[in-house]
Amino acid sequence: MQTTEKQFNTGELTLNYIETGSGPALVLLHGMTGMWQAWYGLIPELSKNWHVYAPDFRGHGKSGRAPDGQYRNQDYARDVIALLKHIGEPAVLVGHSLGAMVATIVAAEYPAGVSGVMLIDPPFFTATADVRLHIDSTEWFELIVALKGDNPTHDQLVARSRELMPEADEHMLQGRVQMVEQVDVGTVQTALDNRLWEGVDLDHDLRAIQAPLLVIYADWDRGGAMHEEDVDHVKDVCPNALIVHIPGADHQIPFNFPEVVFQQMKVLSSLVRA
Amino acid sequence: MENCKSFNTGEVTLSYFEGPANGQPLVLLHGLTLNNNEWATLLPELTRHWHVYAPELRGHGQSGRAPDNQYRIVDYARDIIAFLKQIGQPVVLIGHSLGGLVAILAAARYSEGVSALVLLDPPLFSFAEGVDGQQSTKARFQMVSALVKDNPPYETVVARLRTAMPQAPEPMIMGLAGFITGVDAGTVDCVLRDQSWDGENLPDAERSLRCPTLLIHGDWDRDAAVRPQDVDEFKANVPAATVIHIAQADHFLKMFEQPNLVLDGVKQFLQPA
Repeated sequence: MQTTEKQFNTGELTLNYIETGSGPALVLLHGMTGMWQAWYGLIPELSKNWHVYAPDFRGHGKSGRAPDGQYRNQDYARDVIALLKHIGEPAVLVGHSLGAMVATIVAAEYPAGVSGVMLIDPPFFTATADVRLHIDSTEWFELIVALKGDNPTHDQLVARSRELMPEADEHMLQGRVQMVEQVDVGTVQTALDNRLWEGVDLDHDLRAIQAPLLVIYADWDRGGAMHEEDVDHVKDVCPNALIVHIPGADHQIPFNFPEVVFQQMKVLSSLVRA
Repeated sequence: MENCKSFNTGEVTLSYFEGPANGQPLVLLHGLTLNNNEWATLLPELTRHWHVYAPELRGHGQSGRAPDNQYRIVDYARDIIAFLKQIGQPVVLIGHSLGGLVAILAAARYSEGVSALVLLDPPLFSFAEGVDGQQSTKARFQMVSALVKDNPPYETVVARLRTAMPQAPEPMIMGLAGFITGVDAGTVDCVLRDQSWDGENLPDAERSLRCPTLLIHGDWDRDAAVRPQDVDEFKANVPAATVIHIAQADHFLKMFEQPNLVLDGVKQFLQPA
């Protein structure tokens, strides 16, 4: 896959992103502790039909760290709006997990720049409930804080990871270490402190979305991020949204079931106005 | 689609998806001018409970084209019977649309290879009425035939769709082009010439079905493919069949937006209390 990383200064920090393919603009927003490579397996297919942009969020990958240590959803969203203005044409937003929360805010606050929205398993419960409701992600975030809270060297991090993740084989361990190294610990700390939604009214933003909205979600008891109550709530707040349950899927839909994303892109496409 | 493998029937090479061996074999057959992408929303759940195989029909997806331009239902069914013999144990056979018609014929001809049959909105009317039985479908197949006749690449299909459907938004055009690029025009031409059933008799095939059979259908007046009288006739020919109606569903039975409707029907049928 031919992709060149590019950099763009938002005014606050530098965003690292890739740009590839041709067609209408499509912006892919990864999950917390991810980076643009989270979409690696999907980009070859998506870039056949779309001009794909995939940034690293602030504090992730090769993007800049937040100057004031701010990693709330509204901070990520501000960066993405700056990127959309840089792109200069309305884009379809596809966001997974954290990326879905950010896409919601971007679509609400910058409607002129958004032609369609796909939210993949958005953890909306974090707007009202403790992030610790979701045990899988909480354990991962707490592990990251434990591993690199005191800025260890690479070797220290590897040794510590071996100790704290005894079940991981060497390949998995290297992958985890890489993931932990690329992320600013402030990102997960903000989530653990329940400050992600600070300054944002989720329901207000959901109501303010004008573009066609497609929400796809996994099974809660397989680690999915949308509880039945969240689904009902989104249905109430966004009566025009298309909300699709993918039975049998876990939270990692883009990685484990990429065909679902391809198919649902076609569904979303049929909803996007000229 | 990932996990793509290929199987040579002796006539053509079929591309197929194979999931993990998580249970009994289950084979999915897609519809005319479609491909395995139509199963995406069903696969996460199906692959957890069954050993799923999804071959793409000749002339479709990544599969080879018919050497002699033969796209009758009996030709597709011959491919699928060869595929089932390779699996080597009885399968649950699920077919959507044309795939459902192929599944009926395959199950009738190779009953020892099919333990249960699920038909998703099969155009049963086509045997008696031909393609004129549903004008909206006929018009769509005529458009597809004209668009892909000379095997154009994706970009050409997009350009032609833009001309044919000037009001359609760009992403929708790309979605359509993605589905029909690579489809052999011979597949729809066979239907448009009313040759699909040549040499075959649907009522006879239905009457020779020996396995538990489930028919799931949508609403004819929403462009689904099963008329009320087709249900009655099917029940008469297959008295033990279970029939499920999905209200207000079109030909895709809400598989893309509410996959649970079809999944729940299939699971209840296959795992009786």
